[in-house]
Amino acid sequence: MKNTFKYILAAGLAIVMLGSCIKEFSPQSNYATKDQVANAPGSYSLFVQALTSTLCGEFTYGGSSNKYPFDFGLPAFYLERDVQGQDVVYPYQNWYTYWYSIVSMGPGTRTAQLPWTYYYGWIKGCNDVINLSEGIDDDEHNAGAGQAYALRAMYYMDLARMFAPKPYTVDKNSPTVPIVNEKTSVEELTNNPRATNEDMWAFIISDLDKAETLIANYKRANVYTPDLSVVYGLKARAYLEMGEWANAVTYAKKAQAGYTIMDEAAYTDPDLGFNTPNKSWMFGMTFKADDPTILVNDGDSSWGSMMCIEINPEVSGCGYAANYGQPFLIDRHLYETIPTTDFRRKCFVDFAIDELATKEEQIEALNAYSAAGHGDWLYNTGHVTEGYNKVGGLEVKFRTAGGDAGRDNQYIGFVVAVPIMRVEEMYLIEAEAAGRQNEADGIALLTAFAKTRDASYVYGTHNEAYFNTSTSKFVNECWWQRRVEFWGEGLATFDIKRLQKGIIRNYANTNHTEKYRWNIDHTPEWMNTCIVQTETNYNFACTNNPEPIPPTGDSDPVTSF
Amino acid sequence: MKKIKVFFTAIALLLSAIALSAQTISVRGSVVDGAGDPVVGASVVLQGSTTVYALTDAGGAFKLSVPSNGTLIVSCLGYVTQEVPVDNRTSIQVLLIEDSTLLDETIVVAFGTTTKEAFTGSVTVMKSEDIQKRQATNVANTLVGSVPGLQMRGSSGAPGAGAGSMNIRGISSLYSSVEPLIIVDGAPYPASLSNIPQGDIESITVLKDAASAALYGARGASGVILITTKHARSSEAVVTVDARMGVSSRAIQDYDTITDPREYYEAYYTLLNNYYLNQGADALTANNKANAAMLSDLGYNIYTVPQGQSLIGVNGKLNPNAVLGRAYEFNGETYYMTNDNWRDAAYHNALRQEYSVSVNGGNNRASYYASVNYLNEDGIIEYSGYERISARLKANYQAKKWLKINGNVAYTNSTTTSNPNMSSSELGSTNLMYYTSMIAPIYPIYVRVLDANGNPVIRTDANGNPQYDYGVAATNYGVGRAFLQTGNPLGSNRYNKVQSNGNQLNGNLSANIDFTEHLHGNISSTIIWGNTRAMDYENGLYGPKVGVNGELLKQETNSIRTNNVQTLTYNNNFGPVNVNIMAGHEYYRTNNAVLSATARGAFSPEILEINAFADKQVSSSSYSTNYNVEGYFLSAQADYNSKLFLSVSYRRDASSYFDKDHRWGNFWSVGGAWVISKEAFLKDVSFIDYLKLKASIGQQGNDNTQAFAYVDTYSLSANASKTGMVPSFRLQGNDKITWETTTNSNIGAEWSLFNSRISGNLDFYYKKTADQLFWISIPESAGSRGYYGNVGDIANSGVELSLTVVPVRTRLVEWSIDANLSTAHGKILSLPESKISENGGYFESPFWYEVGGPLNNYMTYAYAGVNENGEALYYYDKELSPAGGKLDENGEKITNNIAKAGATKDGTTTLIGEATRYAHGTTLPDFFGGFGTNLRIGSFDFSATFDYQVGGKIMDNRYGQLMDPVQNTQGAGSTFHKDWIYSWSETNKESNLPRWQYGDRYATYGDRFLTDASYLNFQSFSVGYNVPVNKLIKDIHSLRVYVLGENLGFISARKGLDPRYSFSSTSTMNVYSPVRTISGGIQVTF
Repeated sequence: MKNTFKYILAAGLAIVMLGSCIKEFSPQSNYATKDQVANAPGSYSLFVQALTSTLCGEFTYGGSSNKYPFDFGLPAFYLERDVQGQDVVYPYQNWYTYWYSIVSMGPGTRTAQLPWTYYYGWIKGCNDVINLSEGIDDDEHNAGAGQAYALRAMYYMDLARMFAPKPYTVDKNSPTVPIVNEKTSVEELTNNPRATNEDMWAFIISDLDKAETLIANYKRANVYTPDLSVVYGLKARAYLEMGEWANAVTYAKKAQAGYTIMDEAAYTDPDLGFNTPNKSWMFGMTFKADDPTILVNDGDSSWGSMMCIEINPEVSGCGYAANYGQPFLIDRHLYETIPTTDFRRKCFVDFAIDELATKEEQIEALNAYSAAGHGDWLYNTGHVTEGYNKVGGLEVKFRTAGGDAGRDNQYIGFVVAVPIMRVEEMYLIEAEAAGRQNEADGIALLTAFAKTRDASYVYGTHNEAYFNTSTSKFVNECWWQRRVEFWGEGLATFDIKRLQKGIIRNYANTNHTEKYRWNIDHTPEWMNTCIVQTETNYNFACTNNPEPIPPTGDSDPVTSF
Repeated sequence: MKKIKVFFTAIALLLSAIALSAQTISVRGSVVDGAGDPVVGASVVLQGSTTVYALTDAGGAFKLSVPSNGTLIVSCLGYVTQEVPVDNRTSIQVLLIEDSTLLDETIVVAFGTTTKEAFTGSVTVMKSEDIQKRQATNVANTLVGSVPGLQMRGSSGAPGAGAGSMNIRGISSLYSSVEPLIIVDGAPYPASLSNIPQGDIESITVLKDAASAALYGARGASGVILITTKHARSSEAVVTVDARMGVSSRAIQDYDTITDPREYYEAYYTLLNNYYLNQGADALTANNKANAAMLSDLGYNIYTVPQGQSLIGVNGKLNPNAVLGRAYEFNGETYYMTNDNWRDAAYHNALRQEYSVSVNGGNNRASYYASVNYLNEDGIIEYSGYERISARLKANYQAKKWLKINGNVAYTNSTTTSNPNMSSSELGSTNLMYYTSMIAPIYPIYVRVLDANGNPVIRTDANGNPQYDYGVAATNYGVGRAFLQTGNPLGSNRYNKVQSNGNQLNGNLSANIDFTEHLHGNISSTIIWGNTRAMDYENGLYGPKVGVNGELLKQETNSIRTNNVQTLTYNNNFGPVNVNIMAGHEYYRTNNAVLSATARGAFSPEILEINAFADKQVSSSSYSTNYNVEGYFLSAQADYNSKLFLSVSYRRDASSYFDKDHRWGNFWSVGGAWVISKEAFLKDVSFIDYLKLKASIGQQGNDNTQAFAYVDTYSLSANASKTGMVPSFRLQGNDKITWETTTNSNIGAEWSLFNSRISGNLDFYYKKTADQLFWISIPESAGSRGYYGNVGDIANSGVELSLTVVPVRTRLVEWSIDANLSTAHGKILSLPESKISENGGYFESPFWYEVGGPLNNYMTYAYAGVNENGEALYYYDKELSPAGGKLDENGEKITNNIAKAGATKDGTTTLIGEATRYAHGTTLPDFFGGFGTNLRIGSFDFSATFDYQVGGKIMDNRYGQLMDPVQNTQGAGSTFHKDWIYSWSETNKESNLPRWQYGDRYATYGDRFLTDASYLNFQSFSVGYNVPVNKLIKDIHSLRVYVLGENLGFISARKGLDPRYSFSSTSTMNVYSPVRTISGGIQVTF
């Protein structure tokens, strides 16, 4: 009897031992398997939304633990690119010094990694949506695919202009970047040469053509997704770069429909200036209060921290620009060429204030620039470290969001929107492209635009060659308008490359940083970004741009521009 | 009256001495072991007699009537037998020494125990006596230097911290974790070992080869550490009380940095002066510019210099009229600027206390072990510490003749108070250890002003607290501090609070069933429930959270880990052959759930709960992770005449980390041992006590890769209107990934010679890891950098030797010396073609990987000294660098290839962009190990342990940072190494160090900082005295007083360099490095 019981026990034990019950799990966190994604309600629409919601705010490159202050998305590239020229000055050498002083720009560095990780990640998103839309012809899928083609074109335009050593109009064979489309297999990627300018821009135009058809019926809820007008705008940009003036005019004009150029009140709005979409914004992106770049590191690793200089130093004390002495400035020469009658001058602190005798007088003068009437904050911004120790050239174009609450609390103040495309650009593309065909038409259009900024504008006072005398007086005048109008909006370096300009950082009274006051009589090689090793090591057909070597010591100051 | 008594006693002694031999006296005695614990059941026999004997009781006591001149033979299993002359004593205390070479010593192995003799594998056992000589909050720290083949890196001295990362017998995988599997009382234990008091631990067994670890097949590839808690004994209850108290102090050495403000200003000035002179300025202009730029860069001038004079003269020296301390007007107040010693302010000596009580006893049906332990360890940084209270009850009960029930329950409650932002990689403004070791010696901790009498005082804030200097112009000194502005870690430390409360409950219930005499079953279930409530409060008074009036993060982690094992064992004898066969099943599952929320707007720092915060919707998060492994196993042991031993095992495992079609793996081992000393031909060799040869081979697995690497995954983030979560591509999956497999072979010998005077063992191993879970790179234009796949082979091989010598073993004195030495050489056998087809190998910072090359092959630029201007030169390979003039197919200069290791040094360049990276060899040491000694003289004992490493390299980035001539304002304000004065200069052209010039970008690259990683560490000592108290107080069995010390001294190639941080570089530093602790204690058993 007892033995029987024990045998039952033994049998029971054996059964327990043999029963296999290993579990299969799915992620229960902020990522999901492809099956979970496919099963999610409204899966396709989520993929489409992801195209634009990942433009800024995440630490896509380094993650929240690294919280690099240049890792907040598309607007970071505006700064990374534009401090390479002269218009955006970086007086205190910290996070953006790589790009301003041309250090660690080789293929083994994060400066090369950043654009690759971001842009090709975004392109992957576009390719996924294009694949998911294939063969489905309804409004939702067409709108999604249309956005994907438009954005893919926009990304390749940025990449082409960053990586090609020569612009399209100068050398159609100049290598850009490898094209990865929705059909490219992993095997093909390992032998995928850099497309020539010619192939790349043809690809961009073909994407935009598809977008134009597919997106036609898409009505967007806000400017944070692209619609048909944005496709027109991208086409205008592309044709300008390609020197196809007639097309550029056509699409620039189409793009203008429904938008209004900012007036002085909108452009210099102390609370909403360049942080909230208005009737001139064609396409934009926005930070959100719970984005990692806002939540982590006191919001200091965000666009607002770089550009919004009014943050209460005593209550908040945060912000690289506002309180750590690391603001971005306008180039003094560019500032001094803006007539006092041009309202855009009000976006930058007058260099004359530094000449005032006492601190009190300076603060008094600064009050005019401050939304909060706190000239002392702006004084602090310029003087917080003795690195710059001036206030001349501080920008107040990109205003802190949320009014007083935002200025006291950067978690509100840095939650800003950032423009990607404004209608003003379309007017200037139209003017330049028209003028390239018939200068008189161009001058008329340019003058009409400029008068909206400066009622006493007179054509022909901004003819500065920056070492390239082959561009006409008219083109130089257009360029100057673009430099002033879009300061800080990520177009400056593209224009320098497009127009084959040199750069000038040293002249009498320059506000550029000592040791980096370089005058280069041709487009600097460092504007041809190196391709990261994680591409060239495994894509055997991919060539690279040479690692840039910066000049040593300051150049002799120039006397004419 | 008293005098008379003394007199009579003296007479009595005299008489007894005269009476001499033949007299039978009654002797009381006690037998204790080296740790002072009573030895229960020892036999005490009168020499030459078969009838006069006694066994010691539960207290180790015995009583015998013996001739006063007789000799007692005291013996017990596991101890060296002692002969003790009675010498007329009526009270005798006998100390038995554990026999470390004892053959029938039981060792804990996978799912059971075996004897040392029968064991065919390679293990190292640390017993409670060894552990008791150490003081470790985390017991893993006692393994370094004691376990041959085990290396630990990056261990922290923070109170209550987890162990550093360990690896056993080399680095067995390139991309997966190589941490050994830790098993506590039979179940996997992923929690912190700080939760188990060292006093509760009976033994630690480290399984290194296949024969030992294969039954943990699945996850044993990197070795297994088995921790067994003390077991219950069937004897009269023994109570042990242990109390110790000690002092912790800072053990790490600092680099030889400038600490004098005068020297610092002069060094900084020299940088700038050289820059301006090189720009063509004359001496006077350069002096003026350098003075101005220096104060502009650094912000703070703490010297008062007469009006119109410069701080530093043209001769590069501080103005002789300069006086330390400077008063100036700002915002209507007179500020006073001077320096403070940050290091002194940051560290202090701290108290460590630990108390434990345990009771152990039982009868032949039931026995138990119960313990309570309390530890309070203060950190050497203020506001850090660890407090732990734990209890354990272990009991077993013979319920039926065939059924034995075992229970083991332990509970730990701990509170860890740490400092904000003390991560090892975050070298920022709130990391106190980094901050205080890098800040220039010119910056104050506090804001000072002059009081009414003109004396400098620390300014106080509205709350009466000292005002810390955050280096922010507007609110502090009116100028910005160059070094990590807006931070002051001492201030953060004071007002912020980072704390975590942990609860851990371990429960195990098992039953042994004897089905027949030969067939036994065991069912064992373990549950470990862990709960941690962590808090991170950043104050609203100072620093970045002022604007939001304080921020509070609360995070709760709940983890449940269950392990269920069922085994059936059959054992029997067939003549000279003994057989033991076991079949089993194991099911292990973990679930971790994390919930956290952040709120802002504090009511008061006295209520650190979210309910007392205004903005509760800042952010919240929750997630959970799951893991599951299941395995079936079979093992068999057989021996022939206890001379030949054979063991085989097989295990089949599935892991939830793999796709369901690829999750099962098969693992196995075969081992054999031959006790050659039992053979007839060695019987006559008298000096050999014991000699065993052994060999084993087997395969184990590793699934320690990323979760969900087998499927494409997408990151989720909120859409622009925050109405939904949207997916963006995260990682490419590969459904084919499966276990990586390590084939592990071992041959070895164990011996004991000259009556246990020389004993030791020697092992040779070769481990080949195949089908690794390799990170396969693809061009990043794919939108992903790669995926995991099973490719690539590496091998680790080495020798492990340990030796114990006992030069003296007498009743009065016993002295032993032990030493061990290990080598571990890793070699790459194959790599995926896609990674190496372009360059013949691949570079993944900081190592170069090529087939046939070593592991951890450090790749960086090669320093070539300085040129005629004092600029640093680096070598290039003309095949790789444009400097060599090579042209590509388009006739243009080639781009510099820094992804390929240079082969030849063809020339030198000052530009890093043209220099070539070379592979400089492995950073792993030539050999490493430890040595120690134990000395006992009578009731005194002494022990010391050391660990060492010879050879290997480490990139001393921290030294590089201290030797970097400031490149731009970003680099200003951190201190320099005193070696800067040896830099090349016009007057020191022989120097091999680059010139000391501001703005030089390429001065501190390359192998110049690749430093010899040899070190010697005086790890611990203990001194103890067993007070012969049982002569005085009968109820006390033993009383021991002792002193213990840990982390006592350290030598490396450069003062301040600690190669134990990592196997590659010092770029991430373990900020709370090991602390020195010296404690005194007392242990009583009764």
